[in-house]
Amino acid sequence: MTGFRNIFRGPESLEGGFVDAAVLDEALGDPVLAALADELAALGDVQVPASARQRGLALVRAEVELQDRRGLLGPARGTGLLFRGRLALGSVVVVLAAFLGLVGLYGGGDTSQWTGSGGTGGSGTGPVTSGTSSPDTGSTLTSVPDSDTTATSVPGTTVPGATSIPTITATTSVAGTGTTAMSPPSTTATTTRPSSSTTATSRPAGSTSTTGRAVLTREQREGSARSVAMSLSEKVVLNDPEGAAAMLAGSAGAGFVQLVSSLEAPYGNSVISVATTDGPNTRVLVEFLDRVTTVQGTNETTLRFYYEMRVDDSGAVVTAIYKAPAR
Amino acid sequence: MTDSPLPIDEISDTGPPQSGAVSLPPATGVPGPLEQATEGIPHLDPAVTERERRLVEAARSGDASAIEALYRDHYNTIYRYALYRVGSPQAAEDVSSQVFLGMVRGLPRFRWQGKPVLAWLYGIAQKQVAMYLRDSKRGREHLQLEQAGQLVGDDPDPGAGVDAGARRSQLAGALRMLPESQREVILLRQVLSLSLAETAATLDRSEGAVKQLQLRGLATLRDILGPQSL
Repeated sequence: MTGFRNIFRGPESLEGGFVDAAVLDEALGDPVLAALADELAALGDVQVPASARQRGLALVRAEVELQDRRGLLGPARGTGLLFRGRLALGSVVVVLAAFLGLVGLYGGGDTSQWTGSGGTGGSGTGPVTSGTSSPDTGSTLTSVPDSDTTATSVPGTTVPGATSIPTITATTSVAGTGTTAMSPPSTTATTTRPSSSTTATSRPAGSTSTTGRAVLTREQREGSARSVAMSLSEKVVLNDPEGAAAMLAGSAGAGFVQLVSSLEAPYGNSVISVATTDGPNTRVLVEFLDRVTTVQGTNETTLRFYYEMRVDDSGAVVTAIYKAPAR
Repeated sequence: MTDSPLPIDEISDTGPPQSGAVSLPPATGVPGPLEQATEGIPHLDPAVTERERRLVEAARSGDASAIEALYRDHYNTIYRYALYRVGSPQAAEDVSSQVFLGMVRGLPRFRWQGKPVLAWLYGIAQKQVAMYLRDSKRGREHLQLEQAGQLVGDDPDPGAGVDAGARRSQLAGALRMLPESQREVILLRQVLSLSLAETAATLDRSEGAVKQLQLRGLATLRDILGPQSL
């Protein structure tokens, strides 16, 4: 009898003991179990919210883009080739910016008219030497088609006061560094730079270290952090994860997922506070306005998040995101 | 996204409907609750397996369209599994997102071994669910199946909808009381309608063991629910 039972025992140790022939016979002929099985199958009819599916897909796309930029996915890809082209372009930009910087230096260029941009992060020389490059040259050379975005307000949805946001150009560092850095906000005909958002690469008079790197004041760091935080939040509201990804360090990925997952239908955002925590690290408190639909109707809620950011002369990058306590 | 090394569009056209709970085409068969125990043991469809293999290879090479095809194939199944494990639609979405982010991050290390992609995703999902439930605060959350019940399609009879919601809540509660091995089989086999072969491959058990766990799980559920409730 023991041997007979072992036939039904199977290779695995089954929880609750082995199943003998009697149990099998009972189950096969039991209409109650059959009805129960039908009911269980009906549980699987739960509809998957399309919005959840879309948000998840957006996150996956952003992650693919990040992996692609880091070169972690295989070589047989179109975007990778495109990206490598961007890196090459970025290298050219650095060299050209350095050249223009030298020309400007010896030519006595008027830096007061300089509106920034032109450098790419990573080399440590771009931001400084791009000081005399013209705005047009800079904006043209550093444009990255897929990731360049102009943070624009959604009519009627953004928080009052957040009407002018500087253009944020996301660039990648030169090949080999594997990091992402932000170029400074650039003034264009359609955007105005807030007075408090002096950019990371704007070199104020007398603020250059002996190594030639720009030394940012606290006000400059916080202004740059605020600009990037506003731009990132806009991209969250506008459901543009690809654009957002360019502002995130890898360490911020999980927090970004939490942020996006926490919001159902965000329609506005604002920066509540900016504070320097330690050296180049800055913490920005951001508030999102969200609409949550339940069976009782639609409720408007606010959710707050902290962006931990690292700001240096190459720009600002979000290194962590986590939920802040409610007001 | 472009320059696909494989004709992914063509591959995708042979795939399952995007909205279906079951990610594999009918060739594998979704059996009735018990009749499969008496019929022959189904095996993984070679065509489906080959399609998945090609998708995974393309995805590993960085083809975004292949990655999205994998996402579309399996999102609903993973979401529903997470929903019945972690307790709320919001948490299920969170877990599901983490599963597919894990898939993308794990692609460079993934080695095709002939098992369904769902088996890999299920492994990631189990870890994510465990991490989620480890948080005691979250662990106290329970699925309000009345809420889940309202996600089920329009019910022409509101009164019947209330009853159905209560019944789903009762069933979900009973599911949580099952031993883990039985619960996982019941979830995959009965709720998510995976075939016997898919369930076996996903759980890394033999088909015979899955069949026995399925039957025992149903019997345990019957005992938990009691004769009056059936």
